[in-house]
Amino acid sequence: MAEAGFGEYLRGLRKSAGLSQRDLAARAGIDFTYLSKIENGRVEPPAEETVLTLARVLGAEADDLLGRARKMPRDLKRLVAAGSPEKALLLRRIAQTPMSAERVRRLLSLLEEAEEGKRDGSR
Amino acid sequence: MAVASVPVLSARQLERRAEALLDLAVAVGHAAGPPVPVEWLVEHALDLCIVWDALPTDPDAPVLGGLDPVRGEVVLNDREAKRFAAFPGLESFTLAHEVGHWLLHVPPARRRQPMLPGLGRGQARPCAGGGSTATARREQQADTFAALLLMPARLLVPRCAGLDLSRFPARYKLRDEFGVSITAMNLRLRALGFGWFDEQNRYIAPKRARAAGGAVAVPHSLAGRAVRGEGAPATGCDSDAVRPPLTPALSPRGRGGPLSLPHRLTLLRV
Repeated sequence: MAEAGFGEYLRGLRKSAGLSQRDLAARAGIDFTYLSKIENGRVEPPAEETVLTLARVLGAEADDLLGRARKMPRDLKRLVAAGSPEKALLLRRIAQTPMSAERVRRLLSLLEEAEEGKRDGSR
Repeated sequence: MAVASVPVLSARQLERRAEALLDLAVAVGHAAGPPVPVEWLVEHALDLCIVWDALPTDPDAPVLGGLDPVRGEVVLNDREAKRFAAFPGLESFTLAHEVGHWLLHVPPARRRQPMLPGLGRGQARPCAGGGSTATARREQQADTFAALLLMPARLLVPRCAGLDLSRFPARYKLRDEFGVSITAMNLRLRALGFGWFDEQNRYIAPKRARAAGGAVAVPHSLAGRAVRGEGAPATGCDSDAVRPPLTPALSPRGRGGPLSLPHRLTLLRV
């Protein structure tokens, strides 16, 4: 089954929290008609700051919500700015590619294996 | 033709459909009193989405909302945002009206069904106001359903007891309690046999209405039973049995449509 897009996921979180569109919009400091457009894919996901506020209000994982909004967290941006172009490319690809949780887990284990291989090689 | 034929439903049948939804809300812990949680019903009971979007509208026949059965969306018209803000009860009524269309006029097999490949993408098609008899009938049924859902007799009638409904404050109190417009409340009170109200929302006593050439909405005896909750007429809006003939001066049809409420758009992909 396809992973829910940002709007659909956000609506699910809001409904699970027992909030109306007006309730959530008021708590997040945005217009409720704008929120309805976000939820129904009429507009692009909002700016990072708004996504973070929505995550906080809903008690959701900020990185999860940012990922669904195809937004790169600020700390990762800093990492990219300080790192190599290859790392930047890798992070950008990860941020822009819709991936299932399983696929993400596989990528993480690949990274861990690479890290272990590096350690083993250095002994 | 994508639009379903208009079902033949008595006022009592419409009322039962509305009551079933209300029972659902109460069963999950919503208060049994007004206002009816229509937004919750739309989003949780029916799993429809609410979205504010720009729909074509007309100052003389404003389009407040619509229904997209393919997407499962109730659309509230962004272009009428000022009107919604000025008349708070309008939003609830529009939501309830579209719920009526969803339950009464969209066959289950067509709900959230995408178009078949090769048939092309459907177009939004207005079907309110000035259309066929079937269209007018559908709109009237949706309005009636909305009135029954938001102002159910079992909640409204007990609250009328002891109120002097000829006075504005009493009716405005009910309006605020049920979260509807004063026009919607007046029409519902009339349907329940509590009297007539003119275009300025003033009360018209039954004798005066008769003198003006109109029929009395409901006999006093029936109105009295309604107050005591002993089998009031279900709605009066959609039942010839309890609905009086309207005088030209009082007819809502003379003012632009069923129940005097602004026209709405129903989006049906054809």
